[in-house]
Amino acid sequence: MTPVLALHDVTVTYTTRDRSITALDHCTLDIHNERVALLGPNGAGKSTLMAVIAGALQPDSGTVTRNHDPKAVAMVFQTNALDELLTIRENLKLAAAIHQLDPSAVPPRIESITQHLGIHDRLNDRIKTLSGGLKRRADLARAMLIEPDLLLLDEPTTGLDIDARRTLWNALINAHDERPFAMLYATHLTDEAEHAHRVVLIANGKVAAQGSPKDLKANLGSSVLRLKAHDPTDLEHAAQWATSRNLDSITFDDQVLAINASADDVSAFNLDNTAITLAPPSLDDVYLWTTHAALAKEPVT
Amino acid sequence: MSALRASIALGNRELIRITRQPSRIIASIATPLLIWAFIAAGFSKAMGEQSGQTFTASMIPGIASLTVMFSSIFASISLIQDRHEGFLRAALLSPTPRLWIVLSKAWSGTLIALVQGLIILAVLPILGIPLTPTGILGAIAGLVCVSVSLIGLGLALAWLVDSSQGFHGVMNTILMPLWITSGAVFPVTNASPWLKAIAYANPLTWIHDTMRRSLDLPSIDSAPTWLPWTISITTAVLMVLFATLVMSAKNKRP
Repeated sequence: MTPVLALHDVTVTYTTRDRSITALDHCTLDIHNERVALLGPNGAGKSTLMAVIAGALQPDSGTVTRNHDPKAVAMVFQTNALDELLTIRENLKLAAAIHQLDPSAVPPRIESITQHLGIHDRLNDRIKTLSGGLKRRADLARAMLIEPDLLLLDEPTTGLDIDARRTLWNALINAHDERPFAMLYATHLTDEAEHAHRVVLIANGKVAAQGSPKDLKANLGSSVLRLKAHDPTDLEHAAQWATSRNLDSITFDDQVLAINASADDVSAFNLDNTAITLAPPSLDDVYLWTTHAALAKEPVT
Repeated sequence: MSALRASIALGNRELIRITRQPSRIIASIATPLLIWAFIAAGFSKAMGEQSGQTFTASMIPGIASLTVMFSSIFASISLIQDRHEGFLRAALLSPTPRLWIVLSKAWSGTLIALVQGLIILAVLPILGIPLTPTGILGAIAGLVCVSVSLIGLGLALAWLVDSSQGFHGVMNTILMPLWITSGAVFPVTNASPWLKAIAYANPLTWIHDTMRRSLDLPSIDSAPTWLPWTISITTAVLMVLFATLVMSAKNKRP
């Protein structure tokens, strides 16, 4: 199947006065009509990748192939792209005009989208009078108004409380289920990445791993062992113990994470001052495993 | 047609915004009027009459242009605000060409500035200078040139400068000297040779000259009529193109 968007070998380098930073390093990625989560630590290259995909940034090398209507790209940024002095309706009409939508199609679309997002009764309220969650839904309405072929969301729930986050995600998933389109969202929250059909882990500007949340977790085996130590000496002992058990492990902060572990490993554990837990892999584990393995391979300079 | 509709919608947004910020209207009219009142009161006796017109009256085109300048600065600052609030990023990702985005800021800013500039010009009959239809049309054309030029320059600078504080600094460094050396507060023809050379190289001088000629106020008589108009229109067009060029460059910041 032809992807909606294909990036091949894309590299972006920022040059400052004293050094150059490779934000994207030979990145290759296909996006179909699916929900794709870009997961990675701060500075991993997620926002740069979004900017390249949005067409706001020209890569230094590599190709971006688009198989979508160039007018049907919408983006939700970390901050709302709404005019605070205008009402929701005025903002949506403005968004429709700059996206050059057929004026006769706009009023019914505004009605329908705002009904779906639960902000219809606030259409005539100025943005500055709305709560953070309502503003975010209004911003999502702005993006959805153009019925995008490609919707990009850059950490869309930043600053929202748990309820507002859940409402926003429900609205997004419902909208996507009703009319599939390519949806790519950057996040550093693994619970948000669970909403994706595919998770792309970015580390050091590279695609470190990708797959469905289920497959990514399965790659770590049936169980993950976590050893939390109280001080560096205990941590070193914990790492040595994991090696002695032939466990594939990484050490970071105050803990050792070992994959493909079993209950036998827990039974054999005999170190003091170190807590041990064994659990099925979570996306948190995938994230930590992948990003720390990538950082260990290529430490940030 | 769609791009034009987009530009009209973006411009309308600016008009709605100003009606919801009355302090902005008051500040941009009151400040130049106060500057005019104090400078005119302080210097009118020393300056005497120029070509039969009082110094107080001959300052009016310059003060109208100062009003337009303040409005233009507000219009340009709104670009920085839009960028920080994310509105601009969404607009730039839309299919609307950047030229039309620049034009929307230019026409709406000019309309706002024009209304404010005309309020200042309405002082002229009170000072005994009659306003003729030709005079008003000429003054409007001059004010449009000032506004479009300054908005174009302002947008380009606002695009290059990241903060509104930095933008204020840059604008004060560039715009105030441009305005002061344009003959807004002193007759260029009587200035010392070095200052006269600077004034003649300043496009704002010639835009003010178009307004002075239209309103029958002291002007640079040695120049033919076509010269100030040609310089004024060319400056306005070039500044819009300059802003479009600057804004069209792909932004690349770490």
